[in-house]
Amino acid sequence: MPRISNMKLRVILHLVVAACVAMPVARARLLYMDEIVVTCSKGTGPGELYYFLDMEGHPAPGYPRCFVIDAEARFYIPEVATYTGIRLHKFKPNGKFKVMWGLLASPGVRGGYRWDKEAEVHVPLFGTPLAVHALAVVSEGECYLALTRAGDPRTLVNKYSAEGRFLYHLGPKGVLTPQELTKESIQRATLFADIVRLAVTASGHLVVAESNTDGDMVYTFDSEGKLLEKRDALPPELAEQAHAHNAAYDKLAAAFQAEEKEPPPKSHTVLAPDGQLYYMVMVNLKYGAKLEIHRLTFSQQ
Amino acid sequence: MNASLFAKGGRKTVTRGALARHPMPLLACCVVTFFALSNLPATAEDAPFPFQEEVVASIPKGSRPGQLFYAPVLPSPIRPGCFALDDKGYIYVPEVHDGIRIEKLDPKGEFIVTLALEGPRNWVRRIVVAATGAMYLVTHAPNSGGEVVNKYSAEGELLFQLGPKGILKGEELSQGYFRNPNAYHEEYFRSVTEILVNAQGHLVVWEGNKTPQKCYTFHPKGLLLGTSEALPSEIADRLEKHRARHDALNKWLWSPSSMREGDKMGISDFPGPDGHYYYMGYKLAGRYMGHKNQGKEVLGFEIRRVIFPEGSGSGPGAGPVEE
Repeated sequence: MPRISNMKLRVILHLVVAACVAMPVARARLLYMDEIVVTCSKGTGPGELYYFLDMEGHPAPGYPRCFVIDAEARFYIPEVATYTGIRLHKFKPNGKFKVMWGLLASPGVRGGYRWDKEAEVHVPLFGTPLAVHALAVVSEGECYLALTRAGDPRTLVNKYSAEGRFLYHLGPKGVLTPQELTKESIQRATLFADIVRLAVTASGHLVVAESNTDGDMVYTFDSEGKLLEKRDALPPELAEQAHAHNAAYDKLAAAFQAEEKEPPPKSHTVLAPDGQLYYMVMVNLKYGAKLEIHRLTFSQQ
Repeated sequence: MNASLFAKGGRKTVTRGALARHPMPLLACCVVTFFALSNLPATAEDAPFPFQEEVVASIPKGSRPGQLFYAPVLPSPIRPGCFALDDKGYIYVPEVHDGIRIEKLDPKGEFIVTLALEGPRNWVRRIVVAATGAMYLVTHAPNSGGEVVNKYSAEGELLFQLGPKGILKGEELSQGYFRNPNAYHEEYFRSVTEILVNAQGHLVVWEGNKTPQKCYTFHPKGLLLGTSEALPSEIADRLEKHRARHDALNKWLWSPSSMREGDKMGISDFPGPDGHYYYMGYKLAGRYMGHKNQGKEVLGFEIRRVIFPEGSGSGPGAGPVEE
């Protein structure tokens, strides 16, 4: 049997003691695991995003403001590009690009931009989609987009079928007629003021959370666009989800602050159906830019 | 009268002076003559379209959903050059604009969605849609004169890419894989002249320009089932049945007399699901002038359905065909 000298024994003991002291410190730092799940570069091709931050760091008008994760962990990122309209990028659960949909904003409205010679800027024509503010995906593949249009301060919701076909526009009272979307109707409250959230309940109903000057309002619609309910609080099922999301976001904010990092805005975070928190971040690079979706896995501590 | 006006130099001076003072009649004559000439038949063979046709879908030019980007450029290597109809009558028009994009329209010609697909960014030469909704696209192979068949799911997800030996993978598909781009590489198809899905759902790829001609049959999962030097009898019979109509239509569309209406593309060897032939043409602002069309404004594309007259002998080569 090999003999261990006193010197070697001391060295080993010191190492064991050092490891025991160091481990809790290491564990205390390992509050979460942050992994990049989806990466999109800047561009116009499939899986590439058109708009990012401008040179001063301000987001461009149509930049991606939201993303969702469906029950099968697929990612959806909507954006509005100047010349290509509404685009919905779909990614597989492993973060690989799947397909991009180019969606019709409004049938019969061609949209586009005109060049203003005096101001030397492109001015969008009335009805041209400007930004997608919220998105919800139904398990069957149908989706709802909340968008704003040029020349109209209000927000409306569009429904698309599982194959990407435009189905209808939705306002606070239900399905909108073309007359309710005209320039003349802007003064009337036929559309939503400012949509903060879209969600679909287990029964397939759409819930629209609106923020306006009178306070928050929550509308529930059936799959045909009929208004079922209007109240000032989320339905219990979604209230629970919102509570869980808040708790997860608080954890993220605390972890980021501990590392003196700025947490992402809450609107850029999503609590997936599997209970994991995802957040979206845009990075300006020396040449180009990229968007990343990160998954946070918190440790038990 | 000034005698100097009858002098040679004087007369010239008068003529120049009159033209300079009264140019409008001459200009008007020129304009009238131009329009009169431009409305004359281009050739002696110029004749109305001998078949009944109707516009099924009209796709304007542009870069938004429901528009085709490369319409302004006439015969361009990346212009939309083919389209397909599935068995339900849905229309698929691919083009290459920052990757492959497919405009999907319903049987009434109404736009549904644009599918921007992963994979090659090369010109789509042919497209066929299976009954399951899966799409097969023939594109140029990277860095090669050959071609590959790309299979996409109905949703638009790239499933695999096929060469004559089966599914391609790895460096065979890498854009950065360096080799002679003009050479023929045996892992790719040389020139696909027809691609279709047979009654069993198998993909049939026909290399008609190759000597000897070769026909490949693939399982929907990409497995090569067999090769032959002739088309399978089921397809050959069908082809023969429609040959008269197809040849008559094709001959007319590519004849000089038809060129004034626009570039005719996408004539499939087989009729659509409803038994009618379809073709794609340019919608031009003004008269199509063959090779002189550069500068003509292209408004977009039109998919047109050709209806052959009932009964035999009522159209050029248009006998009745019973499916």
